[in-house]
Amino acid sequence: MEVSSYDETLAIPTEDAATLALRVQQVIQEETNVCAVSDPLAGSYYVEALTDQIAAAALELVEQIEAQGGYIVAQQSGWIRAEVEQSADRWREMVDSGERRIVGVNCYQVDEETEYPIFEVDPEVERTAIERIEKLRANRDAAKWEGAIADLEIAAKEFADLDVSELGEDRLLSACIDAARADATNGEIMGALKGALGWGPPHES
Amino acid sequence: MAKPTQDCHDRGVRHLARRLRDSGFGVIFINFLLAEEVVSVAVQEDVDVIGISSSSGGHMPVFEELLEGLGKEELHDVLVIGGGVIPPHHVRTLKEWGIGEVFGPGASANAVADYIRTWRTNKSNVTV
Repeated sequence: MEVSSYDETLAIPTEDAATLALRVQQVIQEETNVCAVSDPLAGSYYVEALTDQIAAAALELVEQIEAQGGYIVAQQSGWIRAEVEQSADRWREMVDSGERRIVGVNCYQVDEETEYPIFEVDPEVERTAIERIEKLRANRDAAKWEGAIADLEIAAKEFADLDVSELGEDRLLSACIDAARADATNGEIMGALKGALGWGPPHES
Repeated sequence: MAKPTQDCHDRGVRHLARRLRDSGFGVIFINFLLAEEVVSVAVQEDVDVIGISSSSGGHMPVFEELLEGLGKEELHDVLVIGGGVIPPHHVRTLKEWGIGEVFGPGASANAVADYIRTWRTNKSNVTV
């Protein structure tokens, strides 16, 4: 169970907001005795019926995916993406029409919003991060790094050239891990991947 | 519509891209790009509007680099708007920088479409 912080739609939560959310969870955990049983809502007709509905709907989706030839095929054809987007659209339409009520969004809105303290990342964090990367680049084994990046570029090219039926046989992930072990940065690994794979997943239309 | 940096919270922006497309806009959606790459796509595709979506907190440098890149390409007529998780005091700064509008969580796609249409109408009234 997770209680979100009240300022998550504005920024990374402040410590105060995160602590309040944590305390709400702790009140439920410590003061209601809800943890005394593994499934406190078991037997409730309403909850059980909803659980059954979700399970049946999920299984139906799994069957639709299997009927197309499995997840990778459904991903490649754009079916998965379309399902997710259509679901998001249906949800949003219900919000826009007022059929689904979201407090503060389509009901009980206020004209003047209170401004809350916002968490700000200390600029010092960026400076130390840059310093750390510069230090890493200066001190790492340059030949080992170069070899690992060159190999990652080859692996990414091989991956891009694979047919969808051959996915899973590639060595892209292990080449990424080797590059990371050779002290390649996240940005350098992304750069090598983008060079061979472009801007989006190659196996998705 | 672009979602720069490594930010995968794309549910909102993909919904918006779809709604804009359905209401007659030509929409290009790109993600995981640097600001300078967004500018080069804007040049290639001769866009009227750039919408930047950000939910990862790294929006200020993105907008800064984007505006700098647009300035270099002399794309002064391009409307830049933003959306996502952007705190109010950043919204004020962004507007000072010339960002047209920032649409937060809960904003409707219609509000964005209306804003762009109004901008377009005002622009043609001025230039014609």
